[in-house]
Amino acid sequence: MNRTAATVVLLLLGAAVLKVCLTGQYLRYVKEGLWPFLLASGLLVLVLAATNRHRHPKVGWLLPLPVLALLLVAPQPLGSYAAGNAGMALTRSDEYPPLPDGDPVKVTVLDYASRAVFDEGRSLGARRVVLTGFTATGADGASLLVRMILTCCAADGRPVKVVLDGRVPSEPDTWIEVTGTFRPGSVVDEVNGERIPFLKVESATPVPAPERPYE
Amino acid sequence: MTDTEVGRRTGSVEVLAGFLLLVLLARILLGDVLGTPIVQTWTTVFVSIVLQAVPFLVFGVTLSAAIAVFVPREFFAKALPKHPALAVPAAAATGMVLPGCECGSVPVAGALVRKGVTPAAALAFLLAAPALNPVVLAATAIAFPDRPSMVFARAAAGLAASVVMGWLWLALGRTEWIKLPEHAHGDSRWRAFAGAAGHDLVHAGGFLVVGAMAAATLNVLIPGRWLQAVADDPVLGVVALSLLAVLLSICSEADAFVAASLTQFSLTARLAFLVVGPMVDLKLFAMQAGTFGRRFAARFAPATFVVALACAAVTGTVLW
Repeated sequence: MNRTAATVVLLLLGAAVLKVCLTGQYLRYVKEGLWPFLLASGLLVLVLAATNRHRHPKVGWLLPLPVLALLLVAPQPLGSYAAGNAGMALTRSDEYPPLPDGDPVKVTVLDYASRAVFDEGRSLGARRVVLTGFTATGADGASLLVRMILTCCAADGRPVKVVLDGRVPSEPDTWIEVTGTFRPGSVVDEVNGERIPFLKVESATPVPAPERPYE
Repeated sequence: MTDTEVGRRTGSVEVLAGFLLLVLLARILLGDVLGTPIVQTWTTVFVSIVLQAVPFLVFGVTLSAAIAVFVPREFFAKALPKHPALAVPAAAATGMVLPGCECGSVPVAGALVRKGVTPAAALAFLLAAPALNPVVLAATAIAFPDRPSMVFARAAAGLAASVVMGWLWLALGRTEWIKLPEHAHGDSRWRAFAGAAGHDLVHAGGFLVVGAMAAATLNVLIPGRWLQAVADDPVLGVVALSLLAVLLSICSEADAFVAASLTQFSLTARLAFLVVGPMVDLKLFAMQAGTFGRRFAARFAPATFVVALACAAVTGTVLW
């Protein structure tokens, strides 16, 4: 790869990193905390491109692939396919403080599921809750509400699933806001044997996909 | 500049232009294929792995270029113990304090070898830095709140594996297996610095893309439920999770959370996942092959796999 081509490839890489940083598109792929480091590295790549004086190894020809995927395809956040492939992820916590005020009260899918599974719903009681996530279909045909959580990037994305008991959109990957109450009981996630809790659905409304797709 | 060089220069840019055009065409013609859930998930995971690695890679190539250009040759000779057998644990311990991940430590280890550090010590650093740094250990503590011993087990098994691999290299390794790519030389120090960093970035970045494609493919294709079948067998479980760590190529700062969700496996199996992953995976293998040569990677990676698995199995058996 000669000097000009290498410069173009480095420029494209730096530009793509800056673009996903500045448009917020990076939130689909990596955790929020990476932002300053991504921005700094994008700028540094541009500096390296501007000062580039050398020919580069052939393997550099592959660098445009992720760049073009970012710029042209703009891949969607992880959805129901990834959720079906991975097991329910929950971490036990020591205590479950009372829910904040409000009726219905907004809680994360992760918080609801942890309270439902590990606290057996005690801190949920009969309170009405609102959860936001996307729809998916469980192995036995059950309607699921899913929110993916990730630590570094989408390669480590893990699903938190809740079985919806009630009328909800059947099309997978529809983002919905669900209002409902805790219902005792759970089903077993056949992927890893973890428990998936229930939510008794009062209403479900389609909503636009959130800017931060992961919890 | 000769005529052939002029010819080649035009060729390279034309190839790039043609390539970009081809991708645009593919985007239009393959719109339906790109829309299927499996391809979409693959693309998301692929760009995520690359994007996640970019800051660490840029940090790594900057540090390695700084070592190459600004650190005097005598520095490491003075800083590390004279005897290679002692330099190995010293270098592994240095790896513990430097917060980096596997993508950054490969070019840094390459720069250390170039600077005359004994390869055994540089390799111990290469293995220890991503596996044992404070960020990784803190993440492990958060991911396993009920099991504080997991942090200790991970540090102990990881350190043991790095040091054993360094000593193994002293005993059996051959310098001719290592083939470092040629480095460009600049006319001033800053030119040389930018040249080395840019070169390493394109080089390691290209191999990162190879590794990310392989990792994304396996990430999408391996159904999680296959694992359920081997989880109950203690020996098979350890082997299965070690292999999974190699195939998934998850960043060492995140692997503890994935291990924590693999609840159907024994603690020892999950420890093996945490010890093997930062030392051998598809992405790392591609990058090691790029930096140290294929002959090196083909011997080093399998040996590391066996040593890391053994260290994890012994630690787990003793502790739990």
